[in-house]
Amino acid sequence: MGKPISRREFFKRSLLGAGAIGVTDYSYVFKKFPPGKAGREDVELIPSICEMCFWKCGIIGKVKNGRLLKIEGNPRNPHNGEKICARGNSGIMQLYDPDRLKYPLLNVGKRGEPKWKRISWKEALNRIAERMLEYKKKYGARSIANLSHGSSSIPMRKLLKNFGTDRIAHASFDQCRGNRDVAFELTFGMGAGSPERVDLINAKAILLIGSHIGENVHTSLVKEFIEAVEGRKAKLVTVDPRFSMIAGKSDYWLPIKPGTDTALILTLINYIIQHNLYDREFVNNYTYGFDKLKEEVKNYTPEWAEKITEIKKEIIIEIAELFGRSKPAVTIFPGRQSTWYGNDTQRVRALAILASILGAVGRRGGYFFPTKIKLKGCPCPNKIEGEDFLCDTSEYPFMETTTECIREATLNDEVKMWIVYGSNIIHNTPNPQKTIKAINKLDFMVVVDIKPTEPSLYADIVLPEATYLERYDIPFMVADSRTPFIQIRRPVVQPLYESKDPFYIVSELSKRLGLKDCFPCETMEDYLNLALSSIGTNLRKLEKEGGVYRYEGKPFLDDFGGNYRFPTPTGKIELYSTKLSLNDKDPIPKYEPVEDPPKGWARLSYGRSPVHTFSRTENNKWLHALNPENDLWINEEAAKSMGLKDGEYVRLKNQDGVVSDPVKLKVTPGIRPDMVHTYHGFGSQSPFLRLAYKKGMFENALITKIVLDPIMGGMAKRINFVKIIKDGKEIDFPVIKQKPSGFKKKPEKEIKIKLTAPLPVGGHEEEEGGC
Amino acid sequence: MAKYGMVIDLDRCVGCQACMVACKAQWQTPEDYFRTWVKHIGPVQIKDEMVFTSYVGQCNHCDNPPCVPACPTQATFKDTETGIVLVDYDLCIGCGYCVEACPYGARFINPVTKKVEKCDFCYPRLGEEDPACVKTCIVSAKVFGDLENKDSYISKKISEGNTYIIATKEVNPGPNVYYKGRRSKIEAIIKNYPPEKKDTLPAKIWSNVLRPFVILGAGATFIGSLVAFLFQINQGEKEGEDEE
Repeated sequence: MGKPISRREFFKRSLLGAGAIGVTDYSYVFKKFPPGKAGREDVELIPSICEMCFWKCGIIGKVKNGRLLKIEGNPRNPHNGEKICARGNSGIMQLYDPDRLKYPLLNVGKRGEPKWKRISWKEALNRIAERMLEYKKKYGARSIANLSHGSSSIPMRKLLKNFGTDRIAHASFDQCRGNRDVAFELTFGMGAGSPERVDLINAKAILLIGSHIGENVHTSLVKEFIEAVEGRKAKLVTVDPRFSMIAGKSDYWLPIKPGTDTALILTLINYIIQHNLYDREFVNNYTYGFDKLKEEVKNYTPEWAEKITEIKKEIIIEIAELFGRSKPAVTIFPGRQSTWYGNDTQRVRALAILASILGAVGRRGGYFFPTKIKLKGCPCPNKIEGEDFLCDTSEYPFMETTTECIREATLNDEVKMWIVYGSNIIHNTPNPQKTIKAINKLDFMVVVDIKPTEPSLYADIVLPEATYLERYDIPFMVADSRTPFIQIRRPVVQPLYESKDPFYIVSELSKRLGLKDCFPCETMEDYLNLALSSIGTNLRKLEKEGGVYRYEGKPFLDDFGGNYRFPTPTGKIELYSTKLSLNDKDPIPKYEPVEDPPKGWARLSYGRSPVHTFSRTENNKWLHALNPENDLWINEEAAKSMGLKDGEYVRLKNQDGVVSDPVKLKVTPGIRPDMVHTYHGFGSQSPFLRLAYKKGMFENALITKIVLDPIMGGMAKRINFVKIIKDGKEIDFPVIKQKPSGFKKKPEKEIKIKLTAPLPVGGHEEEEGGC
Repeated sequence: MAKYGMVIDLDRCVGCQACMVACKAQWQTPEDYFRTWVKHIGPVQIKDEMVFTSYVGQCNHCDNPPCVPACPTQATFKDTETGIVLVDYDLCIGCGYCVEACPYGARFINPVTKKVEKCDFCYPRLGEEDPACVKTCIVSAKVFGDLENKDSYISKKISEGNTYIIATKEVNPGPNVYYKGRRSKIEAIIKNYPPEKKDTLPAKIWSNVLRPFVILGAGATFIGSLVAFLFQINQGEKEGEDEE
C-alpha cells in the first residue's frame, strides 16, 4: 500500500490538480480550502421548475457567470425535494445542445427536405399573422388548427381560442391519459389527476395494471411508491404481460393475456361483492347503482376469468381476498397511458368501480381529493363561432378535438394551417404516413420548438422557443396533492441565441392580430405578479422564499366532516353511470374480447425508457450515452424456435406491410410469447438531430391500425401485429400455448448478522446463514 | 478515524440511472464515461425465480485495494483518515495499471485529462453533504456514512441483515460498498459481473523494474506543478489555511 497521505496534504495537492483535470464545478472543493477561480461564493442558486418531462419537479440551478453548472432538486418542493431523475440532472445538456433551433427560419426548399433561410422575428411574426388573418377571412378561424404539448403552449392556446378556433388537440390527452380521465370524470365527477391522486404511503395493498412505475420515472410518485412497498411493506400486485422491474418487486405478478384486463377487474369486483368483502357502509353512503352493478357482474367468476385471462383462479381469489382484507387502504392505481385496445374508458371505469366498492376513495391509502384555489390571470375570452360537426359527437359522446379529428379535417380541406407547438406530431402519433399526407395538403405550417424535430422539416416557418431553463411560465398550481402548493418557473440563465419565451411569441402575435386585449400585461413578470397577487404575494417575494407557496389541502372525506357530495349528476360515485346511460353506452362496464394476433404474428407493445421522455430527450448527450436506442423484448422460447439470438438486429413488418428500421433483440423469459415490446421515442427521422437520427426503431411507424375509443375517441394502439424479418426473410412467430399462471413472491430467509462479523459473500450458497 | 462506506438497497432501486447523471454533472466526465454505473440485468431466470435487477456500482474503496500496489507513482492511495481510496492527480501519469488491477472495472482513463478517474465518494463534499449520487437517488436506495460509527444510519442498515458484498472466494479485496436485497439479485450480479481476478504481473514489473524511471518522471511533473503554483501566488491568490 502506498504512503499514507492526510486529507490536508491531499488537498494541498488537489488544489493544483483541480485546474488540470478541467472540472468546472469545483464549488464544493473550495469551501474550506479557499478559492482558486471557481470559488463557491460566486455560485448563484436559482430555484425553478424542471421540464425534462411534465411532472414539474422543483429544481435549483447552480449558475456561475451566467453559465449553468449543475441542476439539483429543490428541498423546498413538497413533492420531489432534493431528488431529481436522470433527465432532470441532464437538463443542462438540453440547454447547451448544439443542435438546438437558434433563429427563426423560413423554409425556401421543399416540405420534408427543407432549405432554411434565417429571418428576423419581426418578419416571421408578420408572415404568420398575415396568413392567419387571410385564412380567417377566406375560410373562417376554424381553418387554423393547433397541435400542442407542454406548459409553454398554454398562452398560444388561449390566443387561438380568442382568435376563434377550437381545433386544438393534445396527443397527451387523446393518445395517452384521455380515457382514464374521462372514466374518472364519469365515475367521480373529476379526473384522476396529474400527479395521480393516490395516497400510496398509507396503502396496505396496491394494484398496478399495465403501469410500469419506475420505468416511467415520475420522481415524487416513484419515491412514495418505493417507500410504501419496500419501506412499509404494502402488498403489491402487478398485472403485466411483461416482467418489468416493478413486477420484480411485487408480491404477485400476473402475466395476463393482452387485451383481457377488463375481465380480470370485473371478476375481482364480482368476487368481492359475492363474498361480502366490500365496504358496505361506504357503498351505502357514497355510491349510486350498487344493485345494478351486482347483477351485471355476477357471471364473471374466477373459473371463467382463468380461461380468458390465463391467470390461475386461485391467484385471482387470493388477490380479491387481499384487497378485501386491506380495505379501504387499497390503491388501485389509475394508470396513465391507457389507450390500448379500443374499449379503454370502460376498463378504467372498472378500476374506478373496484376502488369504490373497497371504500378506497377519499380515505387514507386510496384516492384523495384535489384542493384548488383561484388565481387571477389576464382576461382572454373564447370567441369560437359556430359548431364543430367534424368530430361526430353522436358516435363519441365524450370526445374533445383529437389529433385524428384534425388530421381528417385537413385531408378533407377544411383546415389550411397548423400551428404545431412543442409537440412532435410525426413521432408521437400513430400512422405518421397519414400525418405527413395531411401536412402536405396544408397551405401553411408553423412549428414552435426548441429542437429541429421531424415536424420542423415540414414547416414553412420555424420559431425557436426558449427552453424551460431560460423562461418564465404561467404559475403552476399543484392542486393534486395532499400538501398542495403553487410554484413558479423562472429563467435560470438568459435565453441563448435568438430563442424567445412563449409570452413574447404570443403577445407579439396578438398585437398583429388585433387581439391585444387578450394579453394586456406587458411582460411575463407583470402577468405573474397579477396572478400571485391573488394569494397575497409577488414574484420577488416568492423567489426569495424558494419559489414555492404552500396552502392547506382537504384531501380526505374526514376533512369534509363526512359530508361530501361528488360532482356527478347523482352527487355520488356513479358505479352505474347516468351520463353513459343517457348516451346509449354501457352504464356498467362489460368485458368485450379483443382480436388476438393471427397465427404467425405477435402483438406489438410499447412503453417508456426510464431515462427518456417520449421523443424529446434522445438527442440529449448525457441521456443518449445512457440509452442510445430501444431494443425489442422477445420471449426466450419463441426466439429459440425462430433461430433468433440476443443482441442481433432484425426488422419488423406489420400487418399493413410497413417494415421498420433495424432493432436490437433482447431475448428474455420475462415476456409472453404472443407479443413483443419496445421503448417509445427512438429512431428520429430528423437528420438535424445528430445524435438521435435513425438510432433505434420508430415504433409508431408500425402502428398503422388504430381504433377510436367509443366513448371519448382516444386512439388505441396495441392492436397492431408484427412479424420478424431477418436477412430479408420473414419469420413466423411460433404458437406457444400458455398454461394459466400467476406468481407469488416466496418469503426469504432472514440472514441476521452483526456488523463485526464477516458478511455473507455473494454467490456462495454454502455461506448462507453462516453469520 | 472514520471508514466511509455505502449501502445500496437493490430492492428499492428502480434502475432509473439518476445517480449516474448526478455524478457526471458533478464531475463533468466526458460523454461516455461515468464514475458510477447502473447495469440492468434480466429479466433472467435464477433457479426458480425470475429476476430483473440493477447492478449499481462504483469504486468499492476496498480494505485491500489491488489498485494501490499497482500504481507506480503512489498517486492512488488509501486515505488513512477516511478509508477512501483517492487519486492524487499531480502524481498520476495515466499509465492505466490501476485500471487493469481493479476487479470491478471501477476506473477509467479520462481521455481529456489523460488521468485516471473513479468514484471518490465525492470527497470534496465530505462532511457537508452526501455524495451527488446519494443526494439525487429518487428512492433513497443509496446510503452513505461511517462504518466505524456504530450509531450511524449506515451501520444500522447493515446490521438489519440480508447484507452482501460483491466478492467471491477467489476475489475478495474487502469492498466497503454493501448490497441489500433479495439474494437472487445478488446472485444475478455475481453471475453476470463477477469480480475479476487480475494478473499482477504488470504491477510487479512496474515496482521492480520501471519504478526508478517513473519517480524521475513524477519529479519532473511535480516541478511543473510547483511552477504553476508559484505562478498562481504571483497572480495574487493565496493558499488559505486548513481550518481543521
